[in-house]
Order: sequence, then structure tokens, then C-alpha cells
Amino acid sequence: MLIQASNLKKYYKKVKAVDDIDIEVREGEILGILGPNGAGKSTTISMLSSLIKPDGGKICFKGTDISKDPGVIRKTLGIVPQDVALYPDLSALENLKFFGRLYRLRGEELDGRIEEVLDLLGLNGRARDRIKHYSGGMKRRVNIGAALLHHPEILIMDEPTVGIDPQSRNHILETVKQLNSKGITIIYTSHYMEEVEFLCDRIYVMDHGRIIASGTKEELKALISKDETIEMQVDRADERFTAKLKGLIDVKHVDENGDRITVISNKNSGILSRIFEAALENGVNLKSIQIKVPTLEDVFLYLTGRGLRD
Amino acid sequence: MVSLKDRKSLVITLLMPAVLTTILGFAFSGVMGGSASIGEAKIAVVEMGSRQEDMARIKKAIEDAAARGLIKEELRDEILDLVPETDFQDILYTEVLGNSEVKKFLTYEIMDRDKAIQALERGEITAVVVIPEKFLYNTFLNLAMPFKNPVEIEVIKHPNYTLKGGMVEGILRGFTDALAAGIIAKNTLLEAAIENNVGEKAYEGLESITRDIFNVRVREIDFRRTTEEGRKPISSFQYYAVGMAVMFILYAASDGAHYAIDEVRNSTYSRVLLANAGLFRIFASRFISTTLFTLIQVTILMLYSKLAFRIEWGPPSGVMPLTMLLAVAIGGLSVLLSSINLRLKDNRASLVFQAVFIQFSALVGGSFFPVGSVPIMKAIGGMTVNGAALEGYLKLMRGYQLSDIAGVLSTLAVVTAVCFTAGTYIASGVRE
Repeated sequence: MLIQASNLKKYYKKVKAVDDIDIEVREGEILGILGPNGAGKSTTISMLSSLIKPDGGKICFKGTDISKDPGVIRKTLGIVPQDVALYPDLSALENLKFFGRLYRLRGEELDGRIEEVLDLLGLNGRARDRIKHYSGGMKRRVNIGAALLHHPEILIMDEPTVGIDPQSRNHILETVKQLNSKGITIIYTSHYMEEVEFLCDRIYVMDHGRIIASGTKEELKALISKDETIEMQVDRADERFTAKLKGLIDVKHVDENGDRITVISNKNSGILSRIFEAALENGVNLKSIQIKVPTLEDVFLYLTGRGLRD
Repeated sequence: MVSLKDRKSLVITLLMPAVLTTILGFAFSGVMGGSASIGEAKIAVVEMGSRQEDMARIKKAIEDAAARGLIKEELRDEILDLVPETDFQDILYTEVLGNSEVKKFLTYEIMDRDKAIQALERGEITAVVVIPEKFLYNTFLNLAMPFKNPVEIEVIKHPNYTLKGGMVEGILRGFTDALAAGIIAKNTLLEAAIENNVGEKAYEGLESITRDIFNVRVREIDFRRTTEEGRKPISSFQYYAVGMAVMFILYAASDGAHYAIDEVRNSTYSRVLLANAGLFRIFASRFISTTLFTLIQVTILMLYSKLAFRIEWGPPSGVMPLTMLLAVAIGGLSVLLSSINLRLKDNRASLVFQAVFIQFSALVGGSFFPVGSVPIMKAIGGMTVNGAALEGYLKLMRGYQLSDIAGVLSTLAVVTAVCFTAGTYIASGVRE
């Protein structure tokens, strides 16, 4: 076990940012921490990286308590913060040099590492431009690069794709896969379930500072294997129709978002015909209806009654 | 590296002081050294002797001469009647300093020597005129007898008031020249001398009497040292080159503290901590970078003032240690502000420092105008980094040496020590 955290707690005044959680990080895996904004993901990884001290619990890196010796994890750790942690008035090259020197890299070794990182991130052509003149996607790529210079054993990435274009996002996701294939253990937090689903071997689902589920994708989806998710689009939102759906036998949850309604019900319960009847009864026209293959979004919805981006 | 690429910071720390030095230098060139416009001058007159005692001495000398038969009885009485009219000090006060034209730009007050020197040090007066002991008596003898008793009126000037001091000197020279030429009383006295059979000798010695015996000795005074002579006056360009430089270096301290909180905000602080840098290394870097930046800043401003206005900052043996200690003090100040910012997790400390402290410090420290005439401002300003440095640089410009600015260096050292101690204490409470 690379990292073992048990009974972690962090409070900000009366707010329980992280409330008694256990996390394990295994060597060579991509571990996902999935949850909506404010779930406690960033606080958790800040504690795992020794940046903030927990108010309770213990974190061990390869058996050593990091509260007693933070240096033991710091030197093997690369962190990609949610914000772009770079000096905007410096160029990418200058930023990388600065952070490389902090890790005591010098001379040819430093130059070699910088070149390697720029190649990996596809930034060679604009390395001498100031960061503040970069697009959001390019900034995020340099942000990752600064965490890779010292060849970390673990890479912690906190929502590394927030606010960037699809092309840069894909590039980053591919880079993460590539880094993992080289043996780097990755902890990846996101509220984009499709990213976590695409990348991660194991996933912790967090909400309100607690871990509400954990396991592989398959294990998590199995949580709702007794259920099916039906998505429909109606011609108009109708409260009586929604109320009727909620009252149907076998329906476990109904989520309404404008003209789109999601229903989770027991599998093979013949719910479709009863939905049609309810629509007819309330004068609602169904524009489309489909039974979905379950996703992590559905898992989260099932577990919390809310969408990941609510 | 970051601050050098921060254009706003560069403008504030380098361009602004250079521009303001130029503007203020030209604007105030009329009221500082070598200028044309003066305003009212106030002087102190110090009487080292007693006029009554001098008058008594003169009367006694006449009585003695009469007793020895040198003067006839009738003439003795006539001369004694004339003695009050030879009160040259009274003539100085009423006819010279009290002249209606002179009074328009010069007022005087009779003080004791210590008080007068203190007032001069504080810049409350332009010059001190010292009337020596036995002035009246010696003047009388010089004019009445063929003796040479040198009389020296001393004018002690404040180096900041070059023009006004020069005027006082000129007026006094006019007065002593008049005495030397015997315009005031020689006719009366020579007449008396001839009647007493000493006229021939008096005529023989008259030329030498009028050539050397009256002298106005002029010297300048420093704020603290009243005995040294030969100090150079300070021009407005010199004054504001220093004033602006020592004011704007304060921005380097607050900029450094700003960057500390910027690093927290843009998460580079976390990245630096995770690189195992530690708080000590972070604060040490802040101190070194601010100190180096200040050194560069002051050096550039010195070079600019030298090239643009031919300003000499004084002997390198004094300027270099002062600049070094000043830069270290600014580095210490930056550490203190950074630690407060990091403790509060915002930039309130550096904002208040910029908006309030720098302005206040510049005002009392004399960056805007000389504060020597306002004792409370001078006292407070002397304890500020910029005020102390201003005093040090001005002294060096006037010709003082390193040993003469020991007080200034001590102030800067104390400020640095206080900043480090307070900064370390506050930083110990900063949580990573």
C-alpha cells in the first residue's frame, strides 16, 4: 500500500469539510475521487499531500506517518492544483526552471527534464511565451509539467481539466494515461464522471465530506444493477405528471430538470407502460424515452438523490 | 525575477522616483542651495559679553587716561558724554538689523548661545550671529587708540539655507566694513585724540586699524555637530534625488509582501512548500530578493541622478555601507510584512503599509520637504527607514564621512533587527 489514510477529519469552523474518511492508494493505479463541488475532494488531497494537517486521523506513506515526516511524501509527490499554480509574468520555460531548481535539479539534468516535459505536453513551440498570454488549456498543461520535472512516484491531479477546451482536455486525459503507463501512481479528482470513468481503476465517491461509495467502476455500477434508469423528454414540465411518477410502485427516484425527467426504478418492473399511462392521464406528450446503461452519474444520483453538477 | 517583469512595480520603484526627482528638483531649485528666491530669514544674535560692562570698561579707560593726565578734565567729560553714542551694538540692532528695508526679509532675536545653536539645528533659524566678548570695548579702543584688538563677529549658517545665510553674512560684512572705515565714530574720536596729543600716532596707525581688525568669520552648521566647518550646501536636485529614492524603495518592501500573498492565491506557495522548501527558505528568499532589488533600485536612481543632474552622493566609503544597510532594512521590512500577510492570509498588511505608512513615513521622514523646522516630525522621521537614510545620504553629500553617520546606521540596524524579530515571531504562527 502506497498511502493509507484512516479516520481523516478536517473542519473549517463548524463546517465538516472532511468527515471521518478512509482512503487507500495502491501502487501503479489511477485512483479517482469523484464528487460535486464542495464535496471535500480538494481538502482530502491537500491532507494526503501533507499540505494541510488533518484535525483527526492518520496518513501513512509506505508505512511512515506523514504528520511526523512530511518530507517523506513530498519528495516523491507531484501535485497539479485545481488553480494554475504558475507565475503568470514568467514564461513556461522560466516557470519550469524555477520549480525544477526547487527540487535541486541543475544544469543539463534540469534542461533535459524541461525538454522531456515540454515534449510530453506538446508545448515546445511556445515555451518562451509568458504564461499570462497562454490559453486556459496551455496553462493547465504547463501546470501539469511543473509537477513532473522531478519524476514523481505519485501524481495528484485536482480537477486538472476545469474550464478548458475539449481538445486540451483530451490531450490531458491521454497524458494521464501515458504517465500511468510509465508507472506513476495517480490520484485524480473531478466532478466530471466521464473523466473518472475513462481514467480510473478505482473510485471514491464523495459527498458532504464523506465517502459514500468506493470500488471499481463495475463495483459501483453494480450498486444500481437492480435498477434501471429511464430518461425522457416531455413537451412541457408538469407537476402533476412528476408527482404521479413519484407515486408509481417500483419507482425509487425521480429527477426533473426542465423538460427532461430521469426515473430510477426496479429493473424489469414493466414501468414503461405505466409511464405512458401517466403521461396520457395528465395530457403530457413524450417527445423521447430511453432506458439508459448505468453510468457513475447514475450511481451518484442513486446514492445522493442529486446530480454531480447540481 | 518576477518583480522585474512586473511593469507596474517597475514603474513605481524606478520611473516614478526618477520623474519626481526631476520635477521637484526643478520646482524647488529656487528655494534651496544657490537659488534666487528666498523668503523671510530669521536669525539669532548671541551676545557673548555684556554691553553694560563694556561701557563701564570704556568709561574706566577714559577716567584712567584723564587721571594720568593724558586727557584734560573738560575733554574727559565731553568724551564721556559721547560714549553712549559709540554703542555699536545698539547701532547694529537699530540702524542695521532694524532698518525698515532689512526688516522686510530679516528678523532677529537675541538668544543665549546654546538655545541659538539648537534652534539652528532644528532649522528654525537661518543663521546665528555671535557678537564676541568685549566687542564694544575693543571696538572703541580700535577706533580711539592706535591699538589693534581683533574683533571677530561669527556667522554660523545652516547649510540648507545657503542664500539666506549669505545675505546675513553680507549685511554683517557691510556693518563691520562701516566700522572699519570709521564712518560711525572716527571723526569724534580722532578729534579727541588730537586734542590729547595722540593724534599723530592715531593717524599713523589708522590704515592698519581699518584693514585687519574687523572680521566676519563665516561657517556652516550641521544638524548635530556645531563645531565642524566647510560643509557643502544641498541643492534641490540632491535633496529630492535622495528623498524620492528613499521613499520609493519602501514600495519594494510592500511589493515583496504582495507577492507573498499572490503566491498563496495562485497556489505557487503550495507548490513551493511541496517541493520541501519550508517556511525558512521562503522567508529567506523574500529577504534576499527584496534586498537585492532595493540595491539595484537605489543604484539605478543614483546613476540616473548622476547622469541627469551631476549629483554626487558622497564618498563611496560612506554611501556603500549606508546603501547596503538600507537595502537590508527594506528586506527586513518585507519579511515582516510578508509574515503578517501570510498569517492573515490576505494582503491587508502590505496594502495599509502602502496606502498609509509609506505616505506618513515619507512626510515625516522629509521626502516631500525638509522637516528640520518641525521638531516633532524630525524626531519621528529620524526613526523611520526613509527618514534615517535621507539624513545619512544628505550628510554624506555635505561632506561628512562614514563615522559621522553612525547614528543613522544604528537606526537602520535597529529597524532591521526589530523587523526580523517581529517577522520571525509572526511567521512562527504561519501554518503551512
